[in-house]
Order: sequence, then structure tokens, then C-alpha cells
Amino acid sequence: MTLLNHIISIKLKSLIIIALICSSCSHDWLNMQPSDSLPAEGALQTVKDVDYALNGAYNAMLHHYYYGGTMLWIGDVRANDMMSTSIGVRTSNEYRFQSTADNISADLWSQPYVVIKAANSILYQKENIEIKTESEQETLNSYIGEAYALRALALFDLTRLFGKAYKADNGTSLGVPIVTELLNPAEKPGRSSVAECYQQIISDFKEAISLLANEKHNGRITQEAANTLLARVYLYMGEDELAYNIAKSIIDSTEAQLIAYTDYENSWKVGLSSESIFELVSTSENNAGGESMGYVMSPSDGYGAFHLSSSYLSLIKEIDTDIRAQINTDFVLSGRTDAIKDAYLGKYPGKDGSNYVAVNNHIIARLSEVHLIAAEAAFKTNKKQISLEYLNTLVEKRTELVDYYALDDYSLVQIMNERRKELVGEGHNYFDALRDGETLVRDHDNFFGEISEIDFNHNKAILPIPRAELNTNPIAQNPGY
Amino acid sequence: MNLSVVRSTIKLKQHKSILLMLLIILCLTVNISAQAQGQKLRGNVKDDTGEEIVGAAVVINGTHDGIQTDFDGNFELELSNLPVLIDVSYIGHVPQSFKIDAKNINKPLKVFLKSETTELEQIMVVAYGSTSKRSFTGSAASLSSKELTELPVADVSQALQGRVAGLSVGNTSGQPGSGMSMRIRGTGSISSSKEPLYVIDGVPVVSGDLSGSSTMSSNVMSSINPDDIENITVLKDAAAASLYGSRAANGVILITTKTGQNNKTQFKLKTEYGFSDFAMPLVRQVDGDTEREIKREGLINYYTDNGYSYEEAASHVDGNGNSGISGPTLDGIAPIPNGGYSDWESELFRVGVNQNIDFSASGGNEKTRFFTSISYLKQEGVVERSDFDRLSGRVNINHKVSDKLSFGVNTTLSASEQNGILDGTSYFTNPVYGMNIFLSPTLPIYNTDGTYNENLPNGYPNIAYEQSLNNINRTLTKRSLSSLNASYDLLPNLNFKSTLGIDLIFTDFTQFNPSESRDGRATNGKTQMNSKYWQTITSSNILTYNKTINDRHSINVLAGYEVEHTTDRVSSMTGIDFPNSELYHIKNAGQVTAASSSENERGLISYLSRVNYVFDDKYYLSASYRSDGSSILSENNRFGNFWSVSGSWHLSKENFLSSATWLTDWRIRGSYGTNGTLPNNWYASQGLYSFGNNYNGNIGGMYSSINNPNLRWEQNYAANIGTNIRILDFMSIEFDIFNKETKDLILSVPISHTTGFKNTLVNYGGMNNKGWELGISTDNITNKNFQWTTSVVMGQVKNTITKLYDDVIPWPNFQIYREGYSINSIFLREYVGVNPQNGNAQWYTNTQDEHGNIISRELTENYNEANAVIVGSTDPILEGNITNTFHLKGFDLSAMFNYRIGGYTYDRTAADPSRGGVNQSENDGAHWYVPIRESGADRWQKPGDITDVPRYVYGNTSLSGEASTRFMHKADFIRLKSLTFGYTLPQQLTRSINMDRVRIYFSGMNLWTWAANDIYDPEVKVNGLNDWTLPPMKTYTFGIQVDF
Repeated sequence: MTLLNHIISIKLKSLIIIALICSSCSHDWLNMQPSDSLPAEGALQTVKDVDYALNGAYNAMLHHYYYGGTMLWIGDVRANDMMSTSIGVRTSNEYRFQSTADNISADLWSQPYVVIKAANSILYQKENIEIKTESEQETLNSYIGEAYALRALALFDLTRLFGKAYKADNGTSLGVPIVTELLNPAEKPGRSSVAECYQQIISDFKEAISLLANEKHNGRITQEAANTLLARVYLYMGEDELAYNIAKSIIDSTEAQLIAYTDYENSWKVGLSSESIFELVSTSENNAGGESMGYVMSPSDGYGAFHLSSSYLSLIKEIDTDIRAQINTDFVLSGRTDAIKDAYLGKYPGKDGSNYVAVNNHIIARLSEVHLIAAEAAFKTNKKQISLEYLNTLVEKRTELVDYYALDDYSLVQIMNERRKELVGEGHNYFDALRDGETLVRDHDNFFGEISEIDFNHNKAILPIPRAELNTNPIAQNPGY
Repeated sequence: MNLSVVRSTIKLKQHKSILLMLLIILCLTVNISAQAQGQKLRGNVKDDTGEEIVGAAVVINGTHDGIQTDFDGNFELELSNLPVLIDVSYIGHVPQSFKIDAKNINKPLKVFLKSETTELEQIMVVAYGSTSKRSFTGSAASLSSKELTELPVADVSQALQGRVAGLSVGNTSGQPGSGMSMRIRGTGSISSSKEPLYVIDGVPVVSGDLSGSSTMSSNVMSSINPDDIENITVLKDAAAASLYGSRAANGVILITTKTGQNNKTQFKLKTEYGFSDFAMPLVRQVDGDTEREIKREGLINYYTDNGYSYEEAASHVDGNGNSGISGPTLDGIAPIPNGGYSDWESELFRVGVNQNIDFSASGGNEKTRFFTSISYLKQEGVVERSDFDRLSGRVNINHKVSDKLSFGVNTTLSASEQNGILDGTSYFTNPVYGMNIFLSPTLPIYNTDGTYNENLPNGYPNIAYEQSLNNINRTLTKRSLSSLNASYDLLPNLNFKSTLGIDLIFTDFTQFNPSESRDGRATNGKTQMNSKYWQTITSSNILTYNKTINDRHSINVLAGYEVEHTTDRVSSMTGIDFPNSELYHIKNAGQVTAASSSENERGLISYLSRVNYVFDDKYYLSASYRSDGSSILSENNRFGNFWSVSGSWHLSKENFLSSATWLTDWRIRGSYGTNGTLPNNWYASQGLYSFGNNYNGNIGGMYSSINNPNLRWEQNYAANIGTNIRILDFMSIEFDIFNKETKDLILSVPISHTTGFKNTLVNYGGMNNKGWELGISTDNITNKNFQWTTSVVMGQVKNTITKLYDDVIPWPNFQIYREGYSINSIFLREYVGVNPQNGNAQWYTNTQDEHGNIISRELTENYNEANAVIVGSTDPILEGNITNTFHLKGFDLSAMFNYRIGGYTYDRTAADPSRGGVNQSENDGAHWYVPIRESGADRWQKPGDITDVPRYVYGNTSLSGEASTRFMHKADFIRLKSLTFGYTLPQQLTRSINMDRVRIYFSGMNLWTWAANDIYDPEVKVNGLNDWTLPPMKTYTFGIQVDF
């Protein structure tokens, strides 16, 4: 009997131990949350949360496939003022117009849509944000305005990269899919027309302008920035009067001032110059990294993948005193045996004394452009004298020459050339060269591209839709690809 | 007189618990009585390698009376009633009986006991226990330590390459300490893990790359010393593996470490030294003169294409000017360096050196047995500054408290350091990449003053210079893997066993680029450190019940409960701006640019059960069931049920076959069951909003994943039919056919990027792997002085994707996942060679209708007019090995050839679509600086030339170097995978110096290779891709092992 008892007691003890081990882990124990994320549902509740979401959107915008790099250099190496250093380097496909659906980076297409998703996530929640005070409501309104403006800018960039120039056919050809809400994974939005895209862009910018607070906010899109971008959009569309009106009102009201001649060189090394309207701020912690504009361009610390062309250099040397010619450096890339010195643009030197060339602010809008918009739009609407004044004001700041251009031989070419000189390396030149139907002639020395003359009717004037999108969304590819 | 201690010196291949059982039985049964009167029988017992067996039992048949052999294998037994039958037995060996009568009693009895290892009685380790191979109803392969440990490998998976039917092992990197990639019976998943589960001493452990670096592969399995391993079992079918439920869908590799014997303490010292070099030539570049000749031709072609005459072009290219041409000259792009052409290969690579010292002690008594080892391994890689070293120790102890209660602890500690290069991808400092892409003989390594030429004219870094700098890529791994177990017999037939496993891994990856280096100069030096802390705790509690009824019905029931919890904690930081090139720690940094930490957790709760039933040693049935609940899936889909049924029939035991004496043994087996697979992402089912997307120093958040509550387990349904036949006690045949159906594939489906996401996980799709495996082994010659055995292993797997959402083109864009085709299908434009008239590359258009049928197959010289089609696959038709083993007195020789027939590999080093044509080594001049491969010498030069290599043109824009079948090559090869030649010193000699055994040996890996395509090593990545990873090495190792 004692033996039996003994066995039973041992069995019981064991069973108790097993039961204890089993019960210690209930099935709730299997609910785990990551350490760096919240459940998506309900992540945006307070005004602060909206601010965080906006920062997320700017972070996506600073990505090296967007304004941190590709978006900028693609607008330059396809034009006549900058060129790839050699075949096979970064930018050389774009320089040579050799992009295909397969070799183009899908991120050039998807990254603006990430920004749109971030903006839509705010707009989707905008009615449900907790508001405690009136000033919170104002802040929230301004944030919502930012979301609209970001969405507009991303759609504008997509449309000008992948859709035909508006003026080519008044926007009747295919633009890109317009996304104004959070999509579920199964959705496959089709391409809207370029005109529809522009309509959406304008409507979003207008909404943004009505909501945004009229104040400066470094590194973030402001009412003034939204206005500048809207003026640019109008210029692309040939709505010159509208563009002029906006540009004029900005110049009349802004606190920004054109960079002084003596400050010009240094302004690139610090960022947020006196004429800054909207620029993406890089810090040593948050920047576009080893594929950034500065890194891809820098011949000494990066890839030295592209540099200024002979055409640009002869243009910028028209005036001896032009400060813009003096920020560039001649550099023999990595001991080339042919000892060819190339001129590298000095706009991305690494800011704030940082010795990391990836840390540069990426300018999206500044007062110079507004002057150039005003000059161009005024000229096109037959306000030549006004136009001349706007242009000469800018030229004076850059060359210290007063009234450089004179009314007698004043022409649109002079304005467009001034745009090239001023905005080189900021992603404008290619779009500016084509948007009005002009033929872009790429006549610089050592040209090694495929296409030396192009206008907006050429199939290769716009980029192919990346294969990754075509594989998942049955939208039409651009002709010629 | 009962003898309590049975001594043995032979290292057994069986699982410790079985061994313990056998030892106990032996102790109980061997009752040695002094035979007072009678005649003495003298004798000696040896094993089939001619080595004396210590502790073999010599027993009079039908009694417990007998004796054991002494240290020299000798025995003396007094016999009274002649004639008598004497049984000689020893664990792990086939017992023999001898009739002793008055005539032969005075002749010394020489006994050779044959090892059981080739017999079907072999014990094998299976899921949650062990069984005899005879009663095993599933499909598995078992390997002993002897087959594994004489190869100079840091990681046991390298030794498995080519050894097991149905197991494919791909090269991840030839760097010391890097891992291998494995597939058991084909690829079972698309986006989830395809790698098998590792179980060490009953505890599932983490495997793969835990280095925390995406740029250098480091294999955590290399923290386990192969010399500590007693046995490896590769579980292949559902019956074998489904008790591991989830994670077992890709098969299971069970590793059992060594254990002590119930005998005197045995010491073993092994030391090895060896060399390594590339198994196949790395890159076949043309010499400098040929390169200049081809590049000159390319420049002239370029200028003549642009309207200049040949004479003008040639004059300009040769630097004679006066032609009005501006543009590069030959000396501009490919000059003769001042010091003559450069030999980059000998500058960048060296002969690797391997060293290994392993010391172990094992032994025990009736109550306690132990095994302990300490080992140091150092491998210097063929790349300068690459090496791996490991210090590891192990203690395995089993203690019997009473007849019912026993404890065990197995623990290993290891510390390893791996220094390497960032290989595989297009890193500047990767010499394999450099040799393919930018290091040509026309580039000077040194300046005329003997200093390094720091910047090459093509803008790329001088890797020789980089190697001379203090560039650091280092992974430190510390691992502590312990399992503790307690076993208690609740009832005579009912056992409770509790096992606690704790696997702690700490890895630390450091990348430092000093200010002089290419990657560090922009920031005046840069250090990145990633630390990872991985912890898996497993607890399993298993009840087993064994009962034999009427000697004919044997039943074994197992029920258990298991939990597993894993924490994966990572932290990383980056610092820039360093005072010098030695002090790389971030404390010295001028600026910390990034710092981050995060932690992920995963949990699993499982209920498991198994019933085995055996009738009359003829019929075997087994059924298992396991329910797994995982934290990875949403609450509603959390639990998955996995089960298997299997059986086998021992035909040769049937009366109707008893007359077939030629048939030593015949069994047939069958099994069917399920396993599951989980997504790789531990939070895959959750919609998440993530932080860390900061901007301008402010907090930034972003929707990072889409809510996915319907995500379920990926299910595998596997069937297996097999047979084992042994004929004339000479030839063994094992044959299996299998069919593995995967349903509800977890797929990362690309979605429209307009959503702001790129893909989402869904359960959609199916896949099938079917195939067969055949193993034949023969004992060709078996006598006491000479033995020769041969084994031939072969297998085939055919993969088909049975259901798929849509075509998927996985990175790096040479394959396609398409319904109805193998997952390993190659999808490329079809290259047709060169137009003999103009030297242009040609492709077939392969225009397809909307159903994918090819409707037109015109020749085109425009790459963009050609369409990619499925042109083949990387699947072999047949792969396997042939092994011959010879023993002649003290000498032994073993050679394993492995082979592969059919299938293709793809050479990404020659063509890479990733950046629109950058990174191609065969680009016909598109990139002027790229060195020229030997194949380039066959370029088209003049009309009428028939060749596959297009005309070489500077700045070639024809896209002839873009991805196409031009870079697809046959994968057939045969390779002398391993060769071991050893000599065991005669025992008289070793005894005289107080040693038990002394063996000297040579072993080599990959010593000889024939490959259909000899441009690169045929053993590429497991998906058939040749990229810029270091290829497999050829190694020569000399070793000596002393037992005392």
C-alpha cells in the first residue's frame, strides 16, 4: 500500500508540475507587438501625431530616389547644362536617354506615391483628431494644408516625369493615377489624363493655401511655398497670367530676400538662405545618404557621376563678375589618365561644416525662382518692362551689374538662359527646356548621349512607367517603351 | 560475480540513451562466474577495421556466464562442458557464435565483429527520441561523425554538401565562417523560409545568418564545433518531421552531440593544418596586351561608327593626333602601366591556411557519464584580411540519480571572430567584384615610387590599397547553447521527460572604414556597429508510455507540451570623423550620426502526440499530431494542426519469403502528413504605423505595413513511399519516391505602387515537389585485411508551381515564378549569337499573345524588341554522389565524388540588369574600364566571322551585355568533393608509447572538378546564381589524431 501511495503521490506531484508549466503560458501570451510601431488603426489621434505623420512624409520626400537625389539630377542630366562623367556611372542612363521600363528605378515612381500615402493618411483622419484648444485647431488646419500641398507636389512631379508636357496637347494624353484616399492592396487605379492631374494638383494647392498658416516654417511647406509651386504649375500649363499674379504677390509680400552677392557662395554651405521658401533640411542623422545628390555629384568624396557641361560653362562665363560661376570647382576625377578637368557644381558641398557631402538641404522653392516666374510670365503676357525689372533685379544680385538686360533686345531666350544659370542643379532645366515646345539642343562638348535634340513630342521626352507597376497594375506604358 | 563496469574504447554512433539502456542490459546479463574446473579458451576480439575491441562480452550461450575482453582485446574463458556455443557480442556490432569443442579449444579464437553501421539494426535519432532503423517508418538519412569531422570545415553544413540524397546545399560564400544554404527535397516555399530546422540535442535552435549585417554573411551554425557532433539525421518526409510541426516543412536536421561511455576516461587530441585556394580559377581575364588590342579595336570601331575613316580613327586612338577627333585614345583608357601590366589576382589573393586543434575527454561510470571538449579553429581566407577563428568548449553530463530519475546537461560555449570582405554584392572593396568589373591589367597597382596608386583612372578604388588599410568588417559571435533535461519513470512503462533549452547568441558586427579609404574619406572615417542579442528559450515536457503485450504487440505513446519564446534585440550606431585609422570605436568619433535599437519577440505554444505500434516485428504503424499556435498570426488564425500517418511492413520476416535466403532484409514504408510554415516577418499579420522615419531631427511616423488578419499557415502535404532491401548480405538498396504539395503559400504579392506600398502577404498559390531518391551501397570486398565499400546516391526533384497569383520576377531578375513551371525557371531574352555580317548581337523576338504563347520568333538586333521567355531552369535532372571507401590493414582511403546532371546556372557577374547595365563584365565595350574576359577574345571582327561574342565597340550602346541567355550556362559537373587518406599506427607500436590509437591523415575538399561550363565554379548559390561571392575553396588538410 505504501508503495502504491508513493507512486500516486509522485504522479500527482508530476502532474501538478506539468499543469503549472502549461498554465503559465496562456494563449494571450502569444499577443506580441513590435518595439518600433503602433497598430495602424488609430495611430493618428492628436495634433502632435499629425505633426509626426508630416515629418514621415518629408522623410519620404528626402529619399534619394526623390528630392534627395534622382528627382533633382534627372531634371539636369537630361538637359544641356550637366552631363554624366562617363558611360556606366550613375545618371548615365538618364543622360543618354537609355531608360527602359526594366532599368529605371521603380522607386522614382513609388516614392512620390509614398508621400501621397502619408498625406492621405492625414487627410483620411482629419475629422477625427482630438482638439482641445482653438490654437490647436489652427495648428491642425495648417498641418492639413501641408498634407494637401505635399500631395499636390508629389502628383505634379509624377505628372511631369511620366506624362507628356501639358502644352503639347493641352493635357489630353495620359498622366498618372490620381490617388486621393488610402488604397487597399487590391486596388489598381488607372492613369488619368494630364489635364485631370493638373486639375487635381491645382485644387490641392488651392486647398492647401487656404488652410496653411501664413508664417515661416523652416524645412516645411508653407503658404508661400504652396503659392510658388502653384505659380510654377501655371507656368507649365501656359496659364501665364495666373502665374504672374501669384509670383507678383509673393514678391510684393514676402519677407524673403534675394541672396546678397557676397553671401551667395556661403549660402550653399549653410542652407536656409535669406531667399529660401521651401527646402528639405538634411541633418547628419536624417539625410539622403550615399545616393544623395551631393554624394553622387561630388568628385572628391562621392561618385563624381556628373558635372557641368561646356555649354553651361560658356553661358555662365558671359559675365565675368557672375558669382554663380565662382562656386564651381574644376576637378580631375580620380586621377584620370587623360587629365580632363571637369567643372563640378558647388551647390552641394555638405553643409554646416559637415564633411559629409550627403548633408545638404535640397531646395524645392526659393525667391529667385519666383523672380524668374514673374519675369517669364510677365514677358509672355506682354509686360516686357515689368519682366525686365524682375530679371535685372536678380541679375544684379548675382553679377553686381545694374540693368544688365536692356529692353531693345530683350527676349524670352534671355529669361530662359537666366533660369538655366540660376537654377542649374536644382532639377528644373530639363522641364524648362521642353515645357513650352522648344527643341532642346544638347550641344555641349564630349556629348555621348543617344539623343542630341528633343522636344516634348518625342517619345523619350518622358520616362517609361517602371515594370514593377505594369506588372501589378494594367496601365498603359508610354509610347516608345 | 557481477561485473559492473564494461569498458569500451570505440566511439559509438548511437544515441546516448539507447546506449545507456544497452549498457544496463549488458551489465545485468553478463554474469561472469569463475569456472573452477575445465579447459581454458583463449582468444582475441577485433572489429572489422582490425582494431582490438575492449570490453566485448564472451558468454556461454544460454547462460549469463562469461567474461570481457581486456585492453588488448584478449580473453580467457574456462569451459567445462564441451562442446559449447560461445556468443561474442559488442555494442554496435553484429554478434557471432562459435562452437567450441575438444578439437579447437586449444586454438586461439580470433573473432572479427562486424560493425552494425551498414546494417538495418542501426539506431537512429528521430524526432523526440530514437529508434532502430528497422522500425523507422519515415524517410531520413543518418550520418556519423566519422564521415563529417575529417573535413576542414568550420560549419557542419559544409560537410553535408553533396552527401545526402535529396539535400541540396548551395554556396553562400567561400569566406571563412560564412554559411551554406540548404534545400531538403526541393524548394518548399516562395517567400517564407526555405531552410530546414536545426535541432541540437532535442532543442530546436536558430540557424542562418545572425550577423546583423546585410553586407557580410556569417553563419551562426559555425559556432558549433563539428568535432563535438556524434551523429546527424536529416529528416525528409512528413512522418519523420511533422512532430516538429511548424518550421519542419523544409525538413529537419537533427544533431546529436557526443556523450561519454561507461568506461575509463578517454582522451583524444586532434590537430590539423591545411591550405586552401580557389577550387576553380576565379576570373579568366585576358592579358594586358590582348586587352589593349581589343580596346584599341573598340575605340576605332567607335570613331568609324561616328563617320571617321579607319586611318583617322587609328591615328587618333594611337595618340598620333591630327585627325580632328576629340575623344579618348587607347593610352587614355588602357595605358601600359609604367611598371608593366598589373597582376591583380596575385596582389589581392593569397593561399588560405587552416588550423584546428581539438581536445576532448570522455568517460564515466555507472551513474555519471561525461563528454567534454575544447577546440580552437583558425582559418585564414584567400582574401587578404579575411579570417575566421573559433574557440569553443562543450560539456555533456548525464547523471543517474536512481533507477527512475536521471538528469542531463549539454552545454556549449563558443566565441568566434570573423573578418571578411563585403562580398556577394557590388561593394567597392570586394575583390571578386573588382576582378570582374574594374580591375584590369592596364591599371597600375603602384605608383612609380612604390606607393599605392590610390585612385584608379576609372574612378574605382584600388582594392590592393584598400586591403592595405585598416578597413574592418568583423563579426564577433558568442554563443551559449544549453539544454537541461530530467527524466523520471513515473511507472515502469511511463516516463516523463522535461527539457529546457536556452540558446543565447550575441553577435556584433563592426564595419570601419578609415579616412584614407574610399568608403571612409567622405566622412573622415566611419564606423558602423550592429549588435544583436538573440535568446530562444524552449521548454518541452513529454510523457512516453511503452508497453509490450504478449511479446508481439509493442506500443509506444508520446504526449507532450512545448513552448518557445524568442527575443531578438538589435542595436546599431554609426559614428563618423575619426582621429586616426586605428581607433575605430565610436567613443573616438567626432560625431554619432545614427543610433537605434529595437526588439522583436515571437512565441509558440505546441501540443504534440505520437503513437507507434509494432506487431510481431513485421508491421509498424505510426501516427502523430501536433497543434502549434504562433504569435506571428492573428488571433483567429493562430493555431495550425499538423499530423502524419505512416507504416512499414517487414516483408522479409514473412514466411512466404523465408525461402528466399538471398534476401537478407526487405521492408516497404509509406507515410503521409502535413507540416506548416510561418511568414518570416514576426508581425506579418499586423497593420503597423512605424516610427523612426524622422525628419530634420523631429519624430516621423509612417504607415509601414498593411493589416493582414486573414494570413494563415502555409501548409505542406507530403507523401512518401520507400523501400529498403538488402541482398545476399552484400548490397543494400534504399529507394524513396515522394510528393510534397504546398498549399496556401504565403506570398509577398507585389501590389500597385500607387498604394504607397510595394507588396503585401497573402495565402495564395500552391507548389509541388515530387521526386525520388536512390541509395545503393555494396560491401565489395570484406576480409580482415582489406575492405572495400561503395555507395551510390542519386536523386531528383521536380518542382512545379501549381497555383500563383501572377508572374513574379524575383530579384535579381533572371527567374520567374509562373504557374505551371518550376520555381527555378529561368526567364530571359533568348540570345542567338552574332550576326556574321555586322557583328551585332541578335535575339529572338519571342513575341507572345495574351496567353503567353510565342507567336513570332524573328531575329532582332534590338534588345528591346526581344521578349523574355522561360528558357530552362536551374533544376538538375539528377544529382548525387559516389563514395568508395577502402581499408587495407592500417590504411584507409575514402573518396566522394558528387555530381550534377542537367539544369543551368546564370552568371550575374557578366550581366546585371540592376542599374541599367552597370556591373557587367561581358559588355562588349559598353563600359570602357571593364576588364575583358577570355571569352572577349572571340569577338566578331570582320564580316563573315562566326562567333557568339559581338563586335567590341567603345561605349557600346547595343545592350548586348544586358540580361539574356548569353549568360546562362550548363550546370553539369562532377567533383571530387572529399578525399580522405589515413593511416592508423599498429597497436603494438601505439601501446608501447601508452596510446590507444594514433591516426595520421590527409583530407582534401574539391580537389578536382570537371564542369560543363568552366568560367566559374559550378557550385553556385542554391538558386543557381553566380554572383560576386567568393566561390568554394579547394582545401588540403593534414591531421593527426591521438587517443589515449
